[in-house]
Amino acid sequence: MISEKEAIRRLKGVSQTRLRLWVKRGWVTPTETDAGFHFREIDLARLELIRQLNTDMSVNNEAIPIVLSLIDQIHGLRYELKTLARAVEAQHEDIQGAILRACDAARTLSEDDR
Amino acid sequence: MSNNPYDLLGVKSTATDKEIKAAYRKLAKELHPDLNPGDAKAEERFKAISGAYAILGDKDQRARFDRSEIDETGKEKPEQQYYRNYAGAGPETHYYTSDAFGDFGDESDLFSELFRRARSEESARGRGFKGPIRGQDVHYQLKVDFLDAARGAKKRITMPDGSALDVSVPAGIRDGQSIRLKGKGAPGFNNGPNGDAYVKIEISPHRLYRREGRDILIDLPISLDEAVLGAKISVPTIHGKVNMAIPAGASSGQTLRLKDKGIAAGKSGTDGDQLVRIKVVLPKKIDPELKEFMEKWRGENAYSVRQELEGAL
Repeated sequence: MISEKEAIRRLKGVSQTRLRLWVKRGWVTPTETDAGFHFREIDLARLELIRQLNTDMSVNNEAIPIVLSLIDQIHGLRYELKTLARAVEAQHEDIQGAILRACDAARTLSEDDR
Repeated sequence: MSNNPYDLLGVKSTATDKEIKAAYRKLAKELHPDLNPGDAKAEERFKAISGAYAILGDKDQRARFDRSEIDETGKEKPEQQYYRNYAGAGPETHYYTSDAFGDFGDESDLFSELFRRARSEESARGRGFKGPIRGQDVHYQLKVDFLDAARGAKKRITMPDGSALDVSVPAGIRDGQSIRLKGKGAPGFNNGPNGDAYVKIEISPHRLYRREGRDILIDLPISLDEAVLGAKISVPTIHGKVNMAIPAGASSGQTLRLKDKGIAAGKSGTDGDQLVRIKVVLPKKIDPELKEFMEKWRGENAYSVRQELEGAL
């Protein structure tokens, strides 16, 4: 667990005010304790991402939560997709074959709908 | 005890090289083990400030440390770990969201089952002070009698708090199947959607009907005369009474089919039939007249029925 002080030190160029603002906006969600905020490594990585979006890529404050939300949604999808793929992989090859053929059929169908 | 070299030397991170050198010298004089023979911890503490000065006393090292390229021991810090390296862990992380496929559960009950695990894990953890949280799913068990399950029925589950849940039991539902009621689970938080209710169906057996696939099976007892002469018999089905013609010479075990009198197929497939299995029942008491006739009849009309058994044993 990383303290607020340590987090600021590791994030070059982010003041305590700015950090607390980002937390308030919900862009990053550290754990609140009696001794202040506790950041995990993932929170630090997310803060660094926010900093780079803001400073290096000139993404403005309105757009940053949109970008973060989209990135998180993508990660959610990637995870579930991987899970599903692994589940299929664990099946007997006959079932795998049936699933792959059903995928092809489903793709062809949706193309026809266009 | 802080590992930060600035803290160890007791100087601000903005201190000049001169200030740092002075701070080190002062501490070295105080903490050098040889100048403190009675202090067992002296070595440890001296090592700490020496290490700190090794970084901060050297212009290059200090610069690299300030840029976070090296840590307080002079080791190279690993390159930045990008967010994606952490986010791939899925629901373990508190930023995981199933929002991108929250509607997949609407496609079918299988989709709902596949993806509800993801959604319930996410809502169970909560998202700190972020936005809406989906409510928990709730599970119920409903006992349904055979006929209601076969024909479909509207059922009502009453909660302990007095509120009720209306469940439409589809015709042909099987024992152990679950019905999903969208949005009838626990309420969400922060304007999040309600969870779903899952109602597991337990079907009580019927004293007459049995089910096999979409067909209904029933045993039909007929009397000796009905078997010999044939008859028109009123037979119960799940759809009401049906008049059935029993052919003359019907034997026990024979199965007659009443088409489309089984479980309706709904949108897909064909309706089931009712299969009626004949059971010939002799009179409880054989009267002397019948007995006498039989003995006479046997003399000329005996017929074999146990051919199959011959040869066995």
